[in-house]
Amino acid sequence: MNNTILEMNHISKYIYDAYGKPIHGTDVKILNDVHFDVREQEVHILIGENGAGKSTLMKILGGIIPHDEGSIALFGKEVRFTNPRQSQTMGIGFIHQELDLCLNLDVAQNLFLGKETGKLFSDRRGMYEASREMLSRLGFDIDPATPVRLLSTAHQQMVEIVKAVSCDCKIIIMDEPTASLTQGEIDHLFEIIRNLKKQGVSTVYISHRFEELKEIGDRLTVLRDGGYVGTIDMSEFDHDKVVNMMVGRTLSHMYTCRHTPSAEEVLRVEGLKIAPETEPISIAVHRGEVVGIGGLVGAGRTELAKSIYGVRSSYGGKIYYQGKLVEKRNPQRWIDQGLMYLTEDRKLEGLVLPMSIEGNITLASLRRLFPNARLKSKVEREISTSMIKKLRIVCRGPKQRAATLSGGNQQKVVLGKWLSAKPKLLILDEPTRGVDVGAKAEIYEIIDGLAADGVAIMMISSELPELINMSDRIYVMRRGAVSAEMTDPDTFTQERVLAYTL
Amino acid sequence: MPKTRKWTEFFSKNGSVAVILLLVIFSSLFVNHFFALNNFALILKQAAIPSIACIGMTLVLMTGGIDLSLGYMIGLSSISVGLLVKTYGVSIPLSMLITLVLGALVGLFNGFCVQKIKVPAFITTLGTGFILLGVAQIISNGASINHLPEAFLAIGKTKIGLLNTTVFISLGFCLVFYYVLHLSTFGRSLSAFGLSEPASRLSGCPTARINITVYVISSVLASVAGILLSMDVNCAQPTMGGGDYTFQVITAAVLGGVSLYGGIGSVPGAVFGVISLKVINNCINLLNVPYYWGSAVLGIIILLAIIFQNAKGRK
Repeated sequence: MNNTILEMNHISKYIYDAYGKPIHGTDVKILNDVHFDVREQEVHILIGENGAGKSTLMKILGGIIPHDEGSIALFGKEVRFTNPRQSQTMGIGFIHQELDLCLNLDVAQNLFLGKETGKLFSDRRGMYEASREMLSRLGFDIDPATPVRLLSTAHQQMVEIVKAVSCDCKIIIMDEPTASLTQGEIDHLFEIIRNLKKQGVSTVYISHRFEELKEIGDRLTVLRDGGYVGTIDMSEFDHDKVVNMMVGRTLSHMYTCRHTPSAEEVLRVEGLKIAPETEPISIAVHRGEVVGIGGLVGAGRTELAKSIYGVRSSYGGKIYYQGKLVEKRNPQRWIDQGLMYLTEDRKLEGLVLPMSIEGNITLASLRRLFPNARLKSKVEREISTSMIKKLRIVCRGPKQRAATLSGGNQQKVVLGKWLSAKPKLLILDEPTRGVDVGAKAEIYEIIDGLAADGVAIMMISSELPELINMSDRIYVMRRGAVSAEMTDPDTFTQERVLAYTL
Repeated sequence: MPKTRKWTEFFSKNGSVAVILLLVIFSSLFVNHFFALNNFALILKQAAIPSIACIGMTLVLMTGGIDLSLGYMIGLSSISVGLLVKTYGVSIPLSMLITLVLGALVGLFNGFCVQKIKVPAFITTLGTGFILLGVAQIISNGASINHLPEAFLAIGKTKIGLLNTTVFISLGFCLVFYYVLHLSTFGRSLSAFGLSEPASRLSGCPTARINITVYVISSVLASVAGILLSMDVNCAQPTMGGGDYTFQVITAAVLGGVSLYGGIGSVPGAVFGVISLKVINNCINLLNVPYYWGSAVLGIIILLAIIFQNAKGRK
């Protein structure tokens, strides 16, 4: 039973520049000498902070990106994947966090995508017959003729699993499969995983949720900052020990708190609806205060932020900024008045990736810095170098392209962009997503420093520890509305926040 | 070492300069009569007017859009200025002004469709282009206007040394737009907009205004080109410019290193792109390449040049 079927040794991966050339010399490896192995019939949990390299490692295994150093042995054979198809035919199924099904096709068509049976015309009846059998064998009650877009996320995930199993996969990679599932659906998923195990399929399971790990896992591997920390048997699982492995230091050093909120109100939202049928939202943010916005993905937190920022339509409600009713909202007006929004999607909405660090940092304050529309390279250089110093951005210089920076440094560039625009209220949407632990602590320190300087902070976060430790007040959102306001930092617990999100 | 690195960096950023240098060196060595002051003056004169149009196209391409109506705008402005100065006897400055305003309105319409109604630029400007061609032919009854007033012609045809005034007018536009694109906040925002629309919008760049402005600039510069071309050939024609001209200008812009995906482009690049094109043309003429072969050879050279540039970029 305990044959090792997959072994990945000394895997390293450099960050690539825009031309696909590894950036050697700078010490930016996203994976550094990582070891990972999978045995027959086991559920192997892969765990690590955001940016620890879990996804990268799995992408290498899935043939999506090549590794630069190291070796992969699958069933004792040395392999090197150059595309996902190869890895699939070798028996590796990959269920991505973002499901990749064709929404406009039905279940059977998705299952048989690229391998339709029949000669000239596809053998529809046969396909549906086979699909039904595949689905029922794993205990799924889904009609193969249902268009995938009508299925819930959980059901879509099931289709993905069936698809992976149908390829005769021996190893199935699941990247945070439970992120958007309900408890009942999670239980079902676990049943399936156990079922697969009995049928001789191993699972690599990426997750953050400690509670579920013990229930499902056989072994656990921890990655940290792109490096391999260790593998333990689940029988030796101990909460504190694993946290220690993940973080590499005690968590109490992560957060600082130098700021004290004042009573002066900066922003007040009254009765804003983010969709026609949701409950109206009323919130307030004060000077020098860090207000946390908690809730599950899809609870409407980003929508709220974007509605306030005026880049998304909202319904009814009033917004008061520094005591005055705001009539028209758009980014340009807000930035002039000091309200800014750091987006959740750093690569798409936060940064102009092909532009230099310098260009990105000054982008939001062009009008303030150069009132007569003439760029002054000296001013730009001064601002960007001071931001690079202040935020400790690791780079070769202000001319380096933002695309070539690591996640944490990219986030610092976005922060630098907003800091140089002199914010009075900063909305941060998942400020530490995809950021390594070291940079995370630095970002917390920056946020705390801003609040201490009197900047009002509204921080949307899915990471409960960060939400609890950073916030002076927490609004929890559920189904597009605020379900609770928690005002006493001493009573913040993960359990309480969670209770309001569900 | 650092010195050579600077050079390679310069060339990888300005591929068109490398192309043009290679072209000129090879042509000088192998093509008779190429290396002559008069010939260079001729090439500059030929490049002057398309350069103006190419700057406009470059700005539009940098937003990720395209202006296919550019060539037809040249025809419309040519016939419009011709009709005004000759048939209706309007004063020369006013005629030119009216024509430029006409260009601005067309650009505004293009920009409005692209930005506000969200019609893809390709479709918008294709449609506008045909409308412009139609209008130009309706107002002129399809006829050309010859023998334009001397005073009008003098603006473009007067020689200063070896060069026409057109060359200097063109140079003026190049300098102005060099400032606009490379030294002003507008240019920076335009570039950011072309590279990432969401990021630049959320950073407070006036993206809607930029997107409309580039079409206005493109059409106004096309009008300028139309007016100057009419002076050059002493004739106002509704079919001047046209689709062929548009594609020559796009070709030149691409040769000049503009990215069709938006965001990347430069004024010197646009100008060098046009000059490269004209040098190639010039050589084809000097080498007595049969007429029918000319455009095939031109196509091959252009493809090679662009492949060469791309290969450099990818390294």
